[in-house]
Amino acid sequence: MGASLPPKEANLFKLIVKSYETKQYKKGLKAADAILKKFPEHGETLSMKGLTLNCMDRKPEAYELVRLGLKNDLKSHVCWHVYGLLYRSDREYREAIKCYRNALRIDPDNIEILRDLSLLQAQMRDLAGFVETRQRLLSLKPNHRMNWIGFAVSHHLNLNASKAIDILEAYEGTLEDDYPPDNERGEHSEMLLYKVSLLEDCGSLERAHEELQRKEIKIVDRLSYKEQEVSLLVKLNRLEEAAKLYRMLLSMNPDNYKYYEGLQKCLGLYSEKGQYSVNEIEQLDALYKSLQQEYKWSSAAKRIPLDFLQGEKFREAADNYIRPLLTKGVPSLFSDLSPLYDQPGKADILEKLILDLEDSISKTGGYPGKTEKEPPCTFMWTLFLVAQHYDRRSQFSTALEKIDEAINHTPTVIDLYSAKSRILKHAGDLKAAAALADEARCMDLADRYINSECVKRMLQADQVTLAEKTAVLFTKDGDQHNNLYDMQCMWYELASGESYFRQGDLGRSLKKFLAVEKHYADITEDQFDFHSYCLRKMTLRTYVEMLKFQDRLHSQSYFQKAAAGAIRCYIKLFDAPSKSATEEDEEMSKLLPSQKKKLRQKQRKAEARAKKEAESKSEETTTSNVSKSGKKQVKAVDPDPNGEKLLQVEDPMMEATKYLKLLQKNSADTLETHLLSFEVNMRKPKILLAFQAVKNLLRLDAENPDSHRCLIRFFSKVSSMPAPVSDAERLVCNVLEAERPSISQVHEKSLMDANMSFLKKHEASLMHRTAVAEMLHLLEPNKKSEAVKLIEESSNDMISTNGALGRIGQWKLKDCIAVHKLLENVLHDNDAASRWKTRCAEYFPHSVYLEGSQSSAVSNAYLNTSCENSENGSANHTGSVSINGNLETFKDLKI
Amino acid sequence: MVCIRKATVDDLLQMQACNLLCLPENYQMKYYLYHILSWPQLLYVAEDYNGKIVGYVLAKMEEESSECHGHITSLAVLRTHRKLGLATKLMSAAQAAMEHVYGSEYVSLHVRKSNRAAFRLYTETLGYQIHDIEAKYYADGEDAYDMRKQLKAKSGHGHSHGHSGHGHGHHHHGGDCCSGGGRSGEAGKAGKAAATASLQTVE
Repeated sequence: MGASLPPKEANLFKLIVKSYETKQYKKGLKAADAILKKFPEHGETLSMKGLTLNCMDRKPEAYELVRLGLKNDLKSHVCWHVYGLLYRSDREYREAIKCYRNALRIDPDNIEILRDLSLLQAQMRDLAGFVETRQRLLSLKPNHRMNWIGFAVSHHLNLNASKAIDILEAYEGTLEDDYPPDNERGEHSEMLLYKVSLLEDCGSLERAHEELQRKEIKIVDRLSYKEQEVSLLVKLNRLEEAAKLYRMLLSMNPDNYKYYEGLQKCLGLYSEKGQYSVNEIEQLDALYKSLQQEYKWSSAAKRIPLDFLQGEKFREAADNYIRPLLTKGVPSLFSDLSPLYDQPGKADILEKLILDLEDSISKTGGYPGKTEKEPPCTFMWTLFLVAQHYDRRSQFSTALEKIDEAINHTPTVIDLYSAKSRILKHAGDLKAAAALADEARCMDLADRYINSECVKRMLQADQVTLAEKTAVLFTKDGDQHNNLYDMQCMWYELASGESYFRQGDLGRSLKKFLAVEKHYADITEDQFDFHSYCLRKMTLRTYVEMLKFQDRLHSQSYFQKAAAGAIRCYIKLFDAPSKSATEEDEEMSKLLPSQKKKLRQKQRKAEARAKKEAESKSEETTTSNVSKSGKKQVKAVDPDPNGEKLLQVEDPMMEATKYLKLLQKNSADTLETHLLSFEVNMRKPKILLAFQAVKNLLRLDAENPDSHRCLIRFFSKVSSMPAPVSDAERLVCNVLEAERPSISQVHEKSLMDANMSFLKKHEASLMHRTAVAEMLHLLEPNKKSEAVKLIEESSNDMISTNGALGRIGQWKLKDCIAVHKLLENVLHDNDAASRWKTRCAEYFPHSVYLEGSQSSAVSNAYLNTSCENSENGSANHTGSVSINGNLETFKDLKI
Repeated sequence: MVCIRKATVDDLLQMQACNLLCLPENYQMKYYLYHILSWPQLLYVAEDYNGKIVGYVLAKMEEESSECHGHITSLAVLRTHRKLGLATKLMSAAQAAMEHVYGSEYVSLHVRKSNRAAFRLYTETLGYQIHDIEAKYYADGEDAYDMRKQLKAKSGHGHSHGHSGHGHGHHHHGGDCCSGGGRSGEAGKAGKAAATASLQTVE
């Protein structure tokens, strides 16, 4: 390094490198300038100066200097290495890898560069390259533990676990017998457990078990040891020993469901779907009775039998289970029972059971068959349970009656208001739900959970400004107003993005969805530092688990929602480009060229001014925000807080495609992915890709109304296309002709016939009838009245329950609303739409959308709360709190 | 009702979501990754019947101070899942792992002076004692109790019930961060700073 320089400058060069490593950039810069004064062309110095500037937020100069440096000294590995580091700092990993490779061509044994390269290869999952680099590192420095481990892990990741085992054993061969010393016991133990897990992965079960036992005293993580052993014993079919071990694990943690499941498997009493014979149920019943005796504090041992017991035995067990929890007042009781509602018959048994309890306590003050009285709150918790039960069964009016009864009984329990808010939301009164949640929030201002719940309800009710003000009560970080983004608060961003979307504010909506997308990109980036860290810490099992987690990161539901939301924004933008842009264009086109130039200059100046202001503002906050350690917290000001710039994209469908590709790669089995793909590709238009989407939809769920819509829309579009002219068009036509027979729905059938046979198959379903009606109208617009009739003749069949409190219709509120929107906006039949609204308002009297008689749109029943809010953010929190007399608490609430 | 088990990497996103719902002290995902990739035995979750994470404990070891000891970084239980003893079960599990895997002599934590519910849980149910008071520990200027509990070798972990667990957070300042680095983090965003600082050490 700096070899070509005279001694004085060579020392200065060393100083630059040292200053860079110790982050003393100003010092480094000074040294670089001193060298450059004498040797202005010196490549390595130019490069290092660039790298230093990169850390001082002077990126454009940095790239210029680094490139110039390299040009002046192409044979220098330092210049190439620096270029690689620069790219790496910008997350341009592929480019960085190329640079490192060039550096290594010049200096093949440079450990530092090899190490940097190996990290990038792990990050990019260039596994073959990773193996190669780790091998090189090991052969250069075989006395480093890390190089052995790194080589082994690289082979494991490259799907060669047995090679990884060989390497670990070779490494163990280099160790003394009394290894490890005390301070390395933990790490060695992790390495041994990693090796055993590799043996298990390879199917060398016997060897894995022997190895585990042989190394027992060296493994300090006893729990992992036992869990590993039991897993091997089960696979080796040594079930008796495994069962014994599971019982031992249960005695350590009797609330781990996995252990119960494992024990059942060992005893031959486990079914994936929970279906058991009468005999098996008896055995299970006996097993759990004994486990309950053994682990008195375990709630799992009491709860699990409710899953397999049936009929009278179920009723009895449920009764015994519920009573003490009601007496104790466990708020999560209903959510704990709710999975049972999916099992046939159990919901009815539970209904009868809890109604009996309610009846008995209200009449006698005690449980049925008991003489001792329950404390008063037992009745309140029972009503709470009953209300949630009716909510779950979509009997919202009854649910509301019961929860109001509970609130009247004990007006101070916050959970009741939260529950009422949830019921109102299900019933379709989002405004009242938000008001109730705010009332709950005001009852304990120090509890962030009810604040979060309230914010969620406000967003659902499209009160975004108010929601933000409320959320911010808990997100102040020093002077920083709002750190929801910094803390990756994704649920908030998604809910906010969805609300903006409903309100047609595409810029802000897109902004929120893309923020979530950015968090995911950051999480991917987060793994970088751990590639070397974990090799040192030896947490190899968890490291490999983390890499797998990262590989499927983008299949997470938050990401799916964000990507889908962004794509929908772009679709809407494509269908109706943002007004300001087109208006601007029109204005511009009226101007003379010289005027245009002036206007552009003016705009540019204004932008520059805004940017400057933003910068000075950020500086202000920075200087005032010096933390204890004396470091400045740099907080950049967002130049586009409202997402207006996001709307200025040239080709919205191209942007949409970016996110669509991620969905197709990571969520290929989700209907929504292909629905979005269909919409995007129909607009591009990419006919064959749209066809692909249709085929995927049919593969996943041919009977879904949306799949049907896409199928009909697709072939309807194809038939209306002009005769092919170019070769490409002819090719598309040929493909479709060849493919159509493979789709049974439309093979040798007209689209009208296909539509009608779909109707025949699903005549009783509202949403299917609606899809058919819409397609009928699409295919033959003059049959509109027929289409409307199809919808209006749907009937809301009652599902009977054995409950005493009335019957429930099958229709869902959201479906009724969707149908109304279709009648109004697609079929353009206002009379029918209004008839539909009146009819559905009968079924859903609380729905604001349907203007139901019980909704806050009509009556003000739920809005006269202590925490009154006006609809869009003008509410004054301090004022509303003072009504509750809690002003003092509020003042202290600086979190 | 609720399953208590060791956390996996796949739980981290839900743990972060749970933390953001309940507590004012929040951390970026990297800090959760840092914990699980440093001390995989010290993270526990409470998972309900529907697979939802309703509580968690995030803990670490302070390896560089004179006595090796554990530290509870953050503990939260959703308000909807109180009265089940989840906080106690989570804490007991993490404490047991600190003791048995790392030979921890004691475990420390910080709690807001005003958080009576959490204070009661620590003193009455879990046996913590006030070791010190840290003035203006939290970003808003509130003091923290520095609490400690001695971990005796081979003490079984009881399953006491009946307290009312309440979400509460601990704000860790990165200054005494173990595993290399040792550079001081910043208050306010201690989480992130601590993770990065300790990771920056070159192999």
